[in-house]
Amino acid sequence: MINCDPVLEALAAYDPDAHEADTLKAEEQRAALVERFPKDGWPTMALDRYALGRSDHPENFCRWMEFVATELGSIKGGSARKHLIYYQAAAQEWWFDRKSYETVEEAWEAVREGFVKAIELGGAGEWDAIEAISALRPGPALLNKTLSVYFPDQLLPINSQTHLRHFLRQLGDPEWHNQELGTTRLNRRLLEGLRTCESLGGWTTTQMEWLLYSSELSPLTATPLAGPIADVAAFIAKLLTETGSDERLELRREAEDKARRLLDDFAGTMTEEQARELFKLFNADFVKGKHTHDRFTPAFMGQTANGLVANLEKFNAWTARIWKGSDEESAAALATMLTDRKALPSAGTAYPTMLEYLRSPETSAIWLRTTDGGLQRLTSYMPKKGASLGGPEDYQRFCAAASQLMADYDIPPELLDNVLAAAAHTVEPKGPESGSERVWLFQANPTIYDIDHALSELTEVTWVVRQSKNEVRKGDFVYLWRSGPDAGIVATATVMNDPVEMPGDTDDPYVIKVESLSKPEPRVILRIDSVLPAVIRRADLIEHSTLKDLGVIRFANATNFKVTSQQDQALRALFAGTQGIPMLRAEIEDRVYLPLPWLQEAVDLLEDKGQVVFYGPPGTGKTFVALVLARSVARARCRCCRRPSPSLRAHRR
Amino acid sequence: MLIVDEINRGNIPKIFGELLFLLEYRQKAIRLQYWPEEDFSLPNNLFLIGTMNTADRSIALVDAALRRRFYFVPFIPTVPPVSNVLGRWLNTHKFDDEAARLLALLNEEIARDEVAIGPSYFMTDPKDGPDLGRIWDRAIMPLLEEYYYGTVWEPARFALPRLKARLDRAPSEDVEEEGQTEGIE
Repeated sequence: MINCDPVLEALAAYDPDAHEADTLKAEEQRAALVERFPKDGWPTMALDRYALGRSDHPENFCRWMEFVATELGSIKGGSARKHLIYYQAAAQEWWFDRKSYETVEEAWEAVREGFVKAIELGGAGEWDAIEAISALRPGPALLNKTLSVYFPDQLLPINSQTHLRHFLRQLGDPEWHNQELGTTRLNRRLLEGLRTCESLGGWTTTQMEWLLYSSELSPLTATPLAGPIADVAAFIAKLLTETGSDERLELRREAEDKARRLLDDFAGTMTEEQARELFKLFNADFVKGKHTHDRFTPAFMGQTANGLVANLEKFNAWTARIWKGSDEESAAALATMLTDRKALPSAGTAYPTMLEYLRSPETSAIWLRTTDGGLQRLTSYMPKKGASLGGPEDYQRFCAAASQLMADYDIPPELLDNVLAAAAHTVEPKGPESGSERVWLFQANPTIYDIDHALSELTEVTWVVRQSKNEVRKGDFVYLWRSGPDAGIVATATVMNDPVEMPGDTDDPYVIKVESLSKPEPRVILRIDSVLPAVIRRADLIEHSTLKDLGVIRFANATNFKVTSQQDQALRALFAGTQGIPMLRAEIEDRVYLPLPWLQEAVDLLEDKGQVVFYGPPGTGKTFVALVLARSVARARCRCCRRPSPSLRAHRR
Repeated sequence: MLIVDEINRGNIPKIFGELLFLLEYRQKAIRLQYWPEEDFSLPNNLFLIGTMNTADRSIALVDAALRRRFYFVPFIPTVPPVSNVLGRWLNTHKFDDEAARLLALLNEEIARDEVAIGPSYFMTDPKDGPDLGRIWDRAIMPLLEEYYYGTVWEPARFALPRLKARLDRAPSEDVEEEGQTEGIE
């Protein structure tokens, strides 16, 4: 069961027309796929028609799934192993699960039979049984995408298990971390949940997918675990004294008074026009020298406003109870509305707490996710766990902390939401070494995560942040360390996002010990900047006067270590020795019949500018020399050859 | 390491797009036209070698903008070290150096570096590959005919017998000495 309030909030900010073209394109791609690969073609499908990699069979199912039908939920990136069977063009051989099957024919027989069975079970609505098909178990994303193509009303076009769990968690489903549920069942669970939200009646699964990904619920825009604001007094003082804040205070005060008068006169008997006028007064603001109406956007705007006035009778009844009732009656009505979010559709927490705030501005405040988040960063207030706001008791705690903050820092009630929103959105300047990004060393245990293969195949990897999660930030520089017998630094990377709590991707083919990396923890995405040609070995670092004190050397039992600027400098100096193009070896002369100094100059030019052109008439060996140089340089430098784009970022841009 | 063979055959600005900027300003990050959400920059370990055929008149050579972004390394058959490649190759394989001396004469006769004949035509084993006469008649002469298309085409000037005759007239020691002075410092 899910909580539909976040969906409503997402709806308020969603413009379906803006995505109409995308949803149409998705439908076109789906129709094209079904036409080319009809359900009843599966029992007789040939392997070449299914598998990626055979250049003489470009029209294959897996290519369509990964690279053509991109609007139907991405399965891009990562390892090709998710396709269960594929042709490795470089090695000129089939890849399949050699532990389970002797020959590729045997593997294909099992996989094809699996798909036939899955499609049959899907047709019969027996979704729970599908995950038990063992031949397809290593490819849950591909399976989900396949089924969602054939049964578009029965599955959402969301194929990443991580994303499905994230959405379920955001929507308050306690089963989000149930490890027994696989991709298909999680998908069904999310869809069934969304179907209980009345406002999504008549929506297609593609429209729902767009709504989820374009909202704040998206795993790609998840709210970071921002740390507390260091100097609260200075932060608030700056906001309250900034240009225009006096005008803002005056304008808001005036609008709020008008709203109170409107409520005094008409609470309980409002017409739609009066209700809309009330919302406009709520939202009146003064920003950058201009009057605006977006104080609480998207609350009281667009779809939430429409939703509130859609049932004017209910709206008036609740408004009257909160506004005109005695203190006890009002509090009881507020508590009911915060407990039963369906009491007045579209009200959310915004409308009842706005009324409460207007009744007693000194002791209460409007309760939105933004104001709640801002309060967390300014005070010791801790909300209930979970993504959505809690019930009446939680609101009382919020109000207590908020009025304490107002008293401590002399904040006018009219500007409190302004301070809280700014606190929620502000990015703290970087720590002591301000201006330069911080530097970390992240450790990988090769018995838990296959770091070597991940580095050679991926451009981005997800990493858990178990230490310093409040300090690791987007843009930080990371040295990647591989533990084990040949321990040392293997790569460098950049942190792409602030840490976000999410469960491990159990589909990740590089995870060796799933149970060690599956539980929800703060995680960051790392962009791999360089894979070192040779490991900078622990054995050598121990000898180094500065680097022997690296955290990972002194207490190895952690994932995330700080690197001091001295250590960073020392590491960079070490790198200078390993970076760049290595010297050519003399043997090359015997292959191209050109003198070594001349070849070395060409390579030096290449290193200097990054690019050179070899020009001359035909038959002079331009291409041949380019190939020989490339091979000799690349072999000495790097063992990576294929770096597909990562799935997470590719999913929705 | 990215190799773009025959780099001048495509419409470089169109193919490279924003890459043209990034190749010049390697350290900078930009927003791509079709992916404006995130900064994009070139990894510092990406290197690019282009090759360009100077003999093809049907295609444009690269413009100044591209020239600025690349270093240019000449592979000219009459200029060392390329002029010595065939000699070295024949020597390594213990073949007679006649082909190298004929090629030098031929390129002297052509007298235009951008269409001079490269050594690789002759880098075949005379025992099981095509013989000199066939290479000459079936590869070199048609190529020259193409180069001279639309101008005065005098095949006799480049014919193998004529060049061989000139070679015999010239004392072979002189040619060898010349080869040495052209050698690598």
